[in-house]
Amino acid sequence: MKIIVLTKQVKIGDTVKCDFAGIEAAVRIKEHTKADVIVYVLCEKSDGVMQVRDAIAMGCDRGEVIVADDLGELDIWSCARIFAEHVEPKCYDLIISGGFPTDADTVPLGLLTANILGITSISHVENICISEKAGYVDIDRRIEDRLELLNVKLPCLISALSHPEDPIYKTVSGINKAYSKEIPVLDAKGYDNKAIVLDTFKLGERKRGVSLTAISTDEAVSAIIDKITMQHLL
Amino acid sequence: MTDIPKSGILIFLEERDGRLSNISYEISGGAYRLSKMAGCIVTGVLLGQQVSGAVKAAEKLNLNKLIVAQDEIFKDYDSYTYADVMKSIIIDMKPELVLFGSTSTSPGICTKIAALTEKAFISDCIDIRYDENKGFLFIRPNVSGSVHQSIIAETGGIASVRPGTFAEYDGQEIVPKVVELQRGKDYNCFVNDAVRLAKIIFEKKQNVDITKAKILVSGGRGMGSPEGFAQLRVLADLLDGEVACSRACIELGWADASMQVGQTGKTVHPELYIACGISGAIQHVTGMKDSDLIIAINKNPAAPIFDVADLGIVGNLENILPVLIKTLQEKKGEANAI
Repeated sequence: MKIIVLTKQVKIGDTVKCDFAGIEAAVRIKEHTKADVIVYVLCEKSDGVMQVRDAIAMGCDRGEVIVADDLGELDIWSCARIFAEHVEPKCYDLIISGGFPTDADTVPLGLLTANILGITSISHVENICISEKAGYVDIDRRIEDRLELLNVKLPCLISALSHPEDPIYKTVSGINKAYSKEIPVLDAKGYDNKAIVLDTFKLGERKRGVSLTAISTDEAVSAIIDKITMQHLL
Repeated sequence: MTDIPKSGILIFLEERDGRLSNISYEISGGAYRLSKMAGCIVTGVLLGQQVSGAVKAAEKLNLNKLIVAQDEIFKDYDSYTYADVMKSIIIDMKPELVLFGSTSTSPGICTKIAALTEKAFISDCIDIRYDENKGFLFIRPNVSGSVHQSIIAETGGIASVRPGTFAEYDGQEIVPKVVELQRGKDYNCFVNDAVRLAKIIFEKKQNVDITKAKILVSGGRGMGSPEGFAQLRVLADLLDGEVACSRACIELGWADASMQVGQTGKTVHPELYIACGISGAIQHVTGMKDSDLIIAINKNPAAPIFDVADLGIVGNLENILPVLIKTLQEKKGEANAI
C-alpha cells in the first residue's frame, strides 16, 4: 500500500506552523500495514526540510519539499493545483491531508486537491483502518452530533483529525534514517489564484482593563460579583 | 458599477432532521442585507428527504425565490449528491455569490462545487461586504488572526460564513416564489459508489447554540480535566448562561465541538464572557473579543487573555470557582427568599 501525505506550512512572522495530523494518521496505518509513506510539504523557501525529517523520524519513509516563495499570497486553488501537479497519477492508494486547521484553508485544501485529481474525498476522519474487503478502507467520520461509519473504495483522500491524546513520537532509528537521507526540494509550478487579497487591516482593538494579582480568593470573588452586578447581569 | 446578475446571491439552506439549522437563518439575514446594497435578488436552495416544515420556515426568510428538492436521496448526508444538485442550479442561475454556513459539512460540498464550476472558494469568512466598484468583498482573519484580509474573487465566489457572523433579519418583507425541482428533469441522482455508509452513531450533544447565549462561561486547558467543565456548567446555570470552550478542550476530548469559540470555532458576542483557564491565543480572542464584558481568570499573569479582559483575576481556578459558585448560590437563595 502506498500512502501520500500532503501538508502545507503556514508562516506567521518568523514562526512556522506545521500540521502533523496527516503524518501521524499515516504512521498509525503504517504500523498495521507496512505501507510506504511519502510526505509532501508545501512551504516558503526550504523551511519544510525539517518537517520532512521529523516525519521520517516519526515513521514515514521519505518526503519532498515543494517551495512556493509567494505561498502567503496563494489561494486554495493555487495550493491544490500545486499538490495535484506533484502527486504522480495513480501512484498511490491513499492520500492523507491535514485536519488540524493551521489556517482556514487546511481542511478544504485537501478536499479540493482530491477533486482536481478526480478521486473520492472524505473530511473530518477520526479513525481509519484497512477494510477486510480488498481495496477498501473503513473510516469513522465525525459530523457534529454523529459519527458516520463509512466503507470507502481506494484510491481516496481523507483529511485526518489530530489525536493529541495519542501522539506519535520520533524514534532514535527514525532520526538516524531522517538525517541519512537527502530531502529533495522542488519548485512549485502550475498554479493560478482565483481569489486575491485586496487589503489587510486591523479591526478595532479592545483596551486592557484591570488585572488583579496577589489577592485572596474572597477578594477575587468579590471583584467578579461586583463587576457583574455593576453591569446588571445578576 | 459592478454588473450583478439578477440571480445575484444563492444561499444554501442547511436542513437537519427536517428543521432549518440556525446558520440558515443567519446567512439568509446577511444575504438579504447584501442584496439591498447590491440591488440583486436572493435565492435559497433547500434539499432534504422531508422538508415541508423547513420550507414553511424558509418562506419567512425574505428570499425572492426558494428552490426545493424533496427526495429520499437526501436522507443521509452525501456531499457528492448535494454538490451535484447545487452544480446544476449554479450553472443555470450563474449567481455572483454562493453562500454556505461554515459547518463540518460545508468544506466537502463547497470544494466539490468549486471544482465542478471552476469557482473560487473562500472559507470561514467573518464578514461579507459589498463595494459598488469591486463587488462582493470577503473578510476573514489571516492565519494568526492578528489582522483581517479583504478578499475579492475573480470569477464570482463560493463562500462559507462562520456561525455568529450575520444576524437574523427580524421581520418578513418578501414572500418567495417556490420552485420544486424534479429528479430526472431538473437534477440527476448522483451517488458516489465508492462511498458506502455502513452505520450512523448519534451522540449526545450540547443542544445549545452558543452564538445566541447572553452569558458564556468558557473553559480552556487550564480547567485541567473534563470534570472541571461540570463546575462551569453549575456556574453557567447560576448566571442563566451557557458553557463554551477553547480549541484545546476539543482536541483533548473534554468538550463538544459545538461549544468551541475562536478562529476555527464560533464567533460570539455575549453580554458577559467569563474565560476560565484560557490563555488567550489570538485564534481564540478573535472569536470572543467583541463580548460586552470580559472577565478572565488565569493563574499565569502573562496570559494574553488579560490584554482583552475588562477584569482579570490572576489566581487559581480550583480555589476561586467553588467560592464563586457558593456565593452566587447564596445570592440566588436570598433573592428567592425575598
